[in-house]
Parts: sequence; C-alpha cells; structure tokens
Amino acid sequence: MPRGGESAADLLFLFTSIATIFGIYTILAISLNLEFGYAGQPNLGKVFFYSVGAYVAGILAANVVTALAGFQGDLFGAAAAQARFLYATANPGMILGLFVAALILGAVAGGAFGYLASFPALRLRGDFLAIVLIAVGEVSRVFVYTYDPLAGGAIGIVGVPNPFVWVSPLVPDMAVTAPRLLYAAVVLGIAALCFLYAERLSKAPFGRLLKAVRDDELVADVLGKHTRRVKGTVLVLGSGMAAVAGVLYAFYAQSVVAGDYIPQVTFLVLAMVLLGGAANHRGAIVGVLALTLFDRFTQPPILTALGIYWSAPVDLNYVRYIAIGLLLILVLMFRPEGLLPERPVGTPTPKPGLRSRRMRARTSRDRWFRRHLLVRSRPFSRPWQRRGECPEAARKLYWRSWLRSL
Amino acid sequence: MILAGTTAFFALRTPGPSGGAVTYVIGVEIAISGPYASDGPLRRDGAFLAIDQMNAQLVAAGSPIRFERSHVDSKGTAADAISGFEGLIAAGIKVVVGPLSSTEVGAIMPLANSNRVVAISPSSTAPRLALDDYVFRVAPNDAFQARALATLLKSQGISKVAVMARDDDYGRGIANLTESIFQASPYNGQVQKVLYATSTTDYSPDVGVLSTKVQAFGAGADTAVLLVAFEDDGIAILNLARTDASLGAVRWFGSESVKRPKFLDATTPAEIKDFLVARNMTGFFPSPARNPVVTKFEQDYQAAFSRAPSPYAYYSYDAAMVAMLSILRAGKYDGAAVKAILPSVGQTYIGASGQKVFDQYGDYAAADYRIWHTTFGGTAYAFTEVGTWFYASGLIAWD
Repeated sequence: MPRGGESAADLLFLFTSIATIFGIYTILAISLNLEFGYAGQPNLGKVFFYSVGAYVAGILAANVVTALAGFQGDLFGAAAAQARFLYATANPGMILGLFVAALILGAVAGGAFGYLASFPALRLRGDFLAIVLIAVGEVSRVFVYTYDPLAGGAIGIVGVPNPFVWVSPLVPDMAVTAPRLLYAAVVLGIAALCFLYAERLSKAPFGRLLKAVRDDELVADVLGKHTRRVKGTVLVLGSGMAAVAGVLYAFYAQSVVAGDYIPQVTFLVLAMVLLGGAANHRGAIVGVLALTLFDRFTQPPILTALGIYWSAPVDLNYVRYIAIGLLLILVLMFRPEGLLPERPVGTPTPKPGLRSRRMRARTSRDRWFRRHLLVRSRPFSRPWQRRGECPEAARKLYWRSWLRSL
Repeated sequence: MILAGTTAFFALRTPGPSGGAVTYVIGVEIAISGPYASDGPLRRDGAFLAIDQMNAQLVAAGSPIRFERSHVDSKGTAADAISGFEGLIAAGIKVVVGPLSSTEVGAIMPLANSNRVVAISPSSTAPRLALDDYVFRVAPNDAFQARALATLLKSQGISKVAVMARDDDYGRGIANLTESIFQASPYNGQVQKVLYATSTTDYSPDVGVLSTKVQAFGAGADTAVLLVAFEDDGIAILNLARTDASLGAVRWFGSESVKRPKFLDATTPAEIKDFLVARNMTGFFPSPARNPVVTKFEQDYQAAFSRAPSPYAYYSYDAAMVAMLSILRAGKYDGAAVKAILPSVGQTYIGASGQKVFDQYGDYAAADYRIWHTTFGGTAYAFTEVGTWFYASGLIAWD
C-alpha cells in the first residue's frame, strides 16, 4: 500500500521504547521478586516506592533546571518545560549531573521510605501487610495529586528532560533517536546491575535466609535468625531499587503525573513476576519481557505498521485487554509456578579449609543438635545423613517436629 | 481456544486497504476505557465519522488520496497516553487526533515536539499547557466557561455557590477558575468547593459535605450548586442529592460535561431526571448557534452509529476534519508542514463546533457558549437551549 511522504514505520524508535520500558520493569520485577518471591513479603505498595523516585526526579528537575534556566513563571506549565528542555540541550554536564544526583537521591529516599514501611512489616503478615502498603501508596498519591505546589497536582510535572537531549544537535540525522538509544542503553545497564546484585544476594546465605523467613518464619526465629532485621533489610533494598526505576521512568517519560502511580502498576509487576516465576530472577525477567512485548506488539498502530489489519467489528483495544487476562489465567492454571519455576539455591559448599567462622559455628551447632536433641527413629538412610551433614531443609524439619513435640 | 484462534484468523488479514491510492494515516488516540469508558467511544466515533466522510468526498472527486485511521486507547492516563503515542510515532504517523484530557496532553507534549508530530486534542482545556508547539487544542480553555458561568450566575440572582467538582484536571480547573472569577469584582460572590475523588464509587460523604456548605450559605434563592461531573459520578451524586432537603431546595447549575446524553437517557432513573428538571439544572456548552453544519453532523452521526453524539464528539469530528484538510492543504504528510498550515485552515473552517480560530499557542482562540437547561416535554426529557453567552461582549442574549 503506497503511503504519503515520510510515513514509514520507525522500528528503531519502537525498539528504544520497548528496551527502556523493559529495563525499568525489570528493575521493578526484581525488587518485588526479592521481597515477595524470596522473602514472602507481599509489598503491594510497590508503586509508592516507584513514585518516590519519580517525584524526586521530577521535583529536582522542575526546581533546579528551571532555576538554572532563569525561567520566571509557573514551574509546572508548558513554558517552563520548554525552558528546561532548551537549558538541558545547551548544558550536557548539568543535566547528566542532575540525572546521577536524582538516581542517588531517589535510591536513598526509596530506601528510607522502605525502612519506614518495614515497621508495619515487622508486626503484620500476609494480607494485612499488603493492605497497609497499598494504603500507603494511595494516600501518598492522593496527597501529591491534590497538593499542587509539590508536583503540579493533576497535570503533574511536564518537561523532565532526557539526560542525553544534548546529543540531538550533534547527530542531526538521528536527532530524535540518538538520545533515546543512549538512554535505553543506560537503563538496560542499570537493570543488568540490579539483576547481578539480586542474583548474588539470592545465592548468598542472605538469600537462603530470605527463603527461610518466607517458608517458616517461626523456625527461622527459633534458629536464632534475626527475621525482623531480614524483613526490614529486604524492604529497604527492594524499595531503593523501585525508586531507581521511578527516577528512570521520569526521565524517560519526561513527565511525572500522580495519576500514573496507581495500584494497577503494582499488580502489573506482580503479574510479571508470577508469569515468569516467583523466586527466580530469570523468570521475573522472562515475565517482564513477555508482557512488554505483548503490550507493544498488540497496539493497533504497530500491527498496522507491520502490515496486519484488524477487521473484526470489535475494537482491537478491548480484545487486547481480554487477551492479556486470558493469558494470565491460562498460565496460572497450567503452570502455576511460572514459566521458569523456582530452583534450589546453587551456592557451592565451601571446602572445609575455607569455612568461615559463621559456617563453623553452624556446623558445630548442627553437631550439637544431633548429639543432644535429635531422636533418631531409624538409621541414617539419606546421603547427607551418612555424610554427617545437616542441610537447611533437614534442620527446618527437625525444628518443626521438635516444636510440635513441646 | 479454537474459537479464539478462528476469530483471530478471520480478524487479522494482510494486506490492508487495497488500491493504488496514496494513503495518509490519521492517528486517533482517544481513551475508550477508564474514566472515558462511557463517553470515549462517542468521541472516537466523531473522529471516525469525519475520516469516513472525507474519504467519501475524495472518492466522489476522483482523488487518489485516502485517509486511514489508526486508533489506540490511551485509557485516560499519562503513562498509557505516552505508550500509545509512541506506538503511533513508531508506525510513522505524523498527525494525531487526541488525546482527550490535559493530563494526557501534557504527557505527550515532549514526544510530539521532539518528533514533530501534530497532536490535535478535542477536549484538553487547561490554560497551563498553552505553548507554541506541535499540540493544538480545538476546545476553548476553562477560563471561557468560568467567565460564562459567573455571568450566568449573577444574571440569575445567585451570589453564593457551592461547587461540587471532580478532583482531576478538568474539575479542579473549572472549580478554581469559577472561584477566582466569581469572587472578584464585579461579581463579588461567595464560593465553597467540594472536590471529590474520581476513583471512588461512594459519594455520600462528599454529598454530605456539600449539603453542609449549602446549609451554611442558607438554602435560599441566592444560593446554588454548580456540578462539574461526568456521567457515572454525576448521576450517583444527583441520586444522593435528590433526597437531601437542603440540596433539593436550591438551584443547580452544571458544567458542559453535564450535558452528556446519559444524564437524560432511558437508563437513568426517572427520579434523577425529575430532580434535574425540578432544580432547573442549567449550564453551558461551547457551540455556535444552531446552523446547517451542526444539524448535518448530528444526522450523519445518528445514521452511522445509531446514537446521538455527545458534546465532545463535535470537537473530535472537527479535530479530524482540520487535521485532514491541513494535510491536503500542505500537500505532504509532514508534521512541520501541517503545523505551519493548520492555523490558517482553522480560520476558514466552520464545523460542528464552530469556527476553529487558533491563538498564538495553537489553542482555540474564543468561544461563544450556548445556554441549556433540562426540560420535560410530557413524554421525553431534553437539554433545551435558551440563550447564548458571547465572549466578545461577555453578555448573555436569551433566545
């Protein structure tokens, strides 16, 4: 079909959009996976910590860049946004510095709010904690939405410049795409760092401890683990990560609008984690990729650009919503553990000579358990028993039976 | 699964529109879910009707040019508006009708400007977004309506107004502007505001606060309620208000959104419609006095979709028409060229919502408002037009 003028599809633009959103949601999914998948803390207020990062970025940009640009007038109006854009184009050092500052401040603010949120987390469990965190997110959103001077109220902060906008004049042929490409690369890089950090954390003793808290908090407590501190730590880490995602989204969307930070965002991230597989970071990433690609490639304009035309009498936009719900239901029915299920922790056992003090302590404690408390009803039959080892699962089983006997 | 597969097989087909014709794609980014689930489809259809009519005219004229539409649902949120707009840009679309709300328009503004894609919003009205850029707005901003409301209230002997408004960019915009204009000279009135959350479904606390404020004013002839609401929330509020003694004793006024058909259609309980008639619900809508263009649009819309257009469907029709005429006038499918020619096209275009004269920011420069009130003619309820507020003079002329 011949089309007029320059109407060819811009696949590179589409790629930058998909890559950036994928990176941002990967960070969110990993952070929720740490809290929910590994530690069993249903942080349904995830969107709140995401919004904290976005507000930090937006407020910083609106106040600092506007002041540096020498603009007088409505901080949240379109004219101020234009002034910020022009200033960022002419001052690469400042906008990059502001971006880095926003990332650091956002992570710190997110972590601090995560620490505050850990207080109810220490006292509440399961559904009650989830409800409290949803409420925290909603209250903060309504506050920002209704209090105009903070972040522009209902319309929000328009004009948070892309940190690489200054590249445009340098490459006129790719004036639009080059800043987006660079930004997508930075987002993917940060997402990769978050993934590596979360993977290491999950495979470390701390990761096993998270699973112990998730599977049986009482047993972990009895074993002398500081479960409250563990829950607090994971909320701080997860919230800091979510805030970093928020900062990245604000600079990507170039706007911060309170109405975007609604509970549905948390549920979307949760759906990504469940689809991919909870307590498996690779699974979470697969979930993010699947839903991001589905969302983008079922948009009617994209289908049209790819030469696929929808001719049914029902609006394709409605069909998309039905399809995504159906997909989730089918996955939960036929593969409830997700596309990539949870796997045992793959930490290699340290050699005897390299055992840490903590490991030695644990081994001696296990020995003490066996000597003083373990009532053997049958001879050791499992390989680990014959080797005289006592893995986590066995210890847990032992303590559970011991507690029941009390 | 088999059913879904079969449906998909027949629904998806390649290639698309055939033909030898040069095709220009008009992006339509109009929300049809979320807060716009009721009115969004009616607005979308306004744009679709314009595209279909233009194609029919081009066929009749033997032109090789055709317009194609590509609609994406922005869901009424900034994030989805950005996502949808990115999809339209990625598809190579240079002219977009939409989005609807000021929140969405503010969010897509940087994308439209950096990618040189013209966006024509049928209903964004926030003055804050005025800028000489690639975003055009064909509906008059809130300040016009607030001025008109203040004049109308004073002409009806009202000096105290309790505003019940949606707590979003639309409701808050009208409520704040009405407050600042009506409290200033020469009106010197008193205004109290109740802003209710758009996400709630229980409005009884808000209606209770409204009732308290009306009682504090004194529920007399010089007190009124101004309702700034959409369909579902508005009807729920009216249903609660009709049983309240204070709210049932004062005059009611409504924003342009209260003129939507659902307020008076068959699905709305008769008690609510009777309440509207009894309280003489009166409001504005920015439109020219009835003329043949309006009548033709309404007839064509009814014929095509078997329902009457909602107020902002007139604007989405005109936004699409102005977009297509600008492409034709520019002679090429290029955002910069369309942006340059669009104001002069608007100046010579008189559509379903009047002449589209733009100011230096690409926003609708001025609007006269028709005044309507709710009536019951013995068999049916209706919005009956009774006068016009002229922006040039700031005066009301009754029919």
